[in-house]
Amino acid sequence: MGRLALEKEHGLPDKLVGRLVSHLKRHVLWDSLLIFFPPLLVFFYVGIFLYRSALIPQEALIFTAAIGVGVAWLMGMLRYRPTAPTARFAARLIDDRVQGKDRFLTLATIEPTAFASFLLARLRHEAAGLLHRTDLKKDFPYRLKRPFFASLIGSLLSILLFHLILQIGPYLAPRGLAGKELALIAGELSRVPRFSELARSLEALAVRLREQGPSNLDRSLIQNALAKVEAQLIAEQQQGGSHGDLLSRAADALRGLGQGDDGAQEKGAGGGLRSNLPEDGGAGKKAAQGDEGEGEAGVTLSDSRDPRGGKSAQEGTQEAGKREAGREQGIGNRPGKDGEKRSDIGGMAQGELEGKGGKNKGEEIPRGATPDRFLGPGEQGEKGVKGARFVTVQLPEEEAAGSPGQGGPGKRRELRPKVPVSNVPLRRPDSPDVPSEKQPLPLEYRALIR
Amino acid sequence: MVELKKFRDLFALLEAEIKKVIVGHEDVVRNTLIAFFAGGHVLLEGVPGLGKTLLIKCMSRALGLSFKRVQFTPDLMPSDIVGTQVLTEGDGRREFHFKKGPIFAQVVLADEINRATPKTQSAVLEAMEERQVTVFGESHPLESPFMLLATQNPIELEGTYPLPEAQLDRFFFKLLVSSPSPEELREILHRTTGAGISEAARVLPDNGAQVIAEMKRLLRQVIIAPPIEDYVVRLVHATQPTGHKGGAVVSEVKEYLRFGSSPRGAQAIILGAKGNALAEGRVHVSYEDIQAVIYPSLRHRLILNFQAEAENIGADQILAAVLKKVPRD
Repeated sequence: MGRLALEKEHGLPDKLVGRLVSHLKRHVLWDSLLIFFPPLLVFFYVGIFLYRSALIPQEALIFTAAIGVGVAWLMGMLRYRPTAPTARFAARLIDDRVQGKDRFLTLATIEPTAFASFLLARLRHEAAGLLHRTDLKKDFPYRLKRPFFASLIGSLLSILLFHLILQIGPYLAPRGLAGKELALIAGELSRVPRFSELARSLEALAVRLREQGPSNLDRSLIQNALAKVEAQLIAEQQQGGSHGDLLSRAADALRGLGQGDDGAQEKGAGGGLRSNLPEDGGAGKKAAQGDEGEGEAGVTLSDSRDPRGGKSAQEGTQEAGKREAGREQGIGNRPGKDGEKRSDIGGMAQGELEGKGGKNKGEEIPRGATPDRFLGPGEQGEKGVKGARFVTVQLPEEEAAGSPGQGGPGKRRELRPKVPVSNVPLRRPDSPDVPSEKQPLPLEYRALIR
Repeated sequence: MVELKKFRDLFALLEAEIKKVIVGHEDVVRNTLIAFFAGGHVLLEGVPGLGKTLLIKCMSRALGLSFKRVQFTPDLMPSDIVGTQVLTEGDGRREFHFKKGPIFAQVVLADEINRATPKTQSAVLEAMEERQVTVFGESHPLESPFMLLATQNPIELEGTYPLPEAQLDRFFFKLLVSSPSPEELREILHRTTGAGISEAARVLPDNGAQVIAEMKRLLRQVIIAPPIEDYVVRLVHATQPTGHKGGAVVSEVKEYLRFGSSPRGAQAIILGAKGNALAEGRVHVSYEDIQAVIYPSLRHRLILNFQAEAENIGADQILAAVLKKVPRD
């Protein structure tokens, strides 16, 4: 054997150990990165989810993503460094694989100058003779380790938990907390005389929130209150009033309450609490439409229906607005009991009337043939409540908001939604024998009436 | 310099030559030869009639070395071993001359060493460690190579003087000579009761002492990796009942040992492992070599307490626990 061949052969065992060290270091690096990869993905997922839900701004998303990548890389390196394989470890693996009786371990760890060269040469020669017994890629393949699977499962569970918390979070939130801010705002509003009625209704809503919690509260109550507040806000902005901030806070608080159950509402009822007011600038636009007499009352509910023939309430209202522009007519303006009732019906409508030039879909008198007879109490028409011409309703929350002495300190009585007792189509409001009593409407029909 | 191949061949020849006479006891024969080339002394323990004396005679004959036997008895005096000054008269003058004792042979058999008094036992201490004896203030070096092989009987302990720990520590290996198996006994009978009795022949050439010195040098050059040295250190530290910071804790050691191994034990393990590696044709020490020689190296260096003796726990059992609980890395 020539000298070069010998040198080449003698150099091989040391090189093999070095190659295996590099090989195993790559494995450990992958292991370390893969352990932190699923949590990083979860981090991104949550961040993007929150961003798309408009809960965090884009800058925060980018910043937290960068921080997340940095932390994951740092953690990976911290885990990698102490577990990085040494030459000693690699040599032992080769010895075990080729049954080298610690030849590779000895070659990898000794100080060559401390031993006789002829013995070292012989040791290298013996080790080189064993090289054919191993193939690094085949004998030491990369395999996903248990910590990666644990990390993956943990990450998937984290995502599930995240969504679970989103779903049940509102139910777990303390009841009093949700209404606390609303009550504070209502207290501030009550100091302004022209907002006293709005303050009362907000306070009543806050009381309900404390009692029932945001998740159990009927969303339509929040929706109504939000509509009132937004209407007042528009009016305030038009008049250049100084309480726009206060009203904005009230609107934000109500929107916040509405957002908590948005997803659930969408799934369960096909639509959540939505205001058709734009986030910014839209209020003024809407107000301008109202001034021209072509818009409706500022709040449009998509499921509202005109009792006449299935047209949307918006369309009908717009038509009626054109026909009766400038005309002072409406239940809310009528004196006497009916006027009070009308006022009760809609704490919301009241505000809308004030802000929109007296136009409201609820106050227009439907035209068409008079039914042959009115239905009696408890009697159902062919189309049910759709056959009704005029219905006077008193919603439980409106009753609470409008009840005298409600806002007085120490006299706040507990509000309970009254159980609707009948669904009776009423006589025309201009009929002399219109019934004076309030006739509550089943809650499930309120959307139809609107 | 003796090459590895020559060492292995000579070692194999010596083993084969001794095995011509000694039936069985392969590990005893090998470890005795390893101890010889490592420059150590061996304590052989076994009941009478197992061939201990014959083994030593065969080895000295195969190596071509001078051999002396001393039967230790209670009335044996130190001068009977190391020698003494005698008054001689010649040319009208009277002079003291040093008369060498049997310790001045190259291979010395101290038969039943535990029957002599401690005073006599200690007479061989200097010879074992310093390779010299001092008589009347005058030191006399021993011939090289020098090896003391002592035997002791584990039974018949009446009237014996157990070797002190200091003297036990000077033995490189303690080898247990066990009873032969039925096949071995049959072979012993066949060889010893027939017409022809085979004897070991000399294996080494005429310059045997020089060859032996080179073989001893080669043994010390055997390569040992630092991790394996660390392993030996951990093993020896693990035999300390007081324990060491960061060392493995072996409950058996704490329970049954009074004292653990001295540093001589670690030296014996390393040198024994090197000899074992050479005997197997390797130029480096492996973990297996360490495990092969740890028992003869340490079993006489572990001082058992009363509880161990009461429960009939031996040093080998404790060493097995140590080997089991001390990790390689």
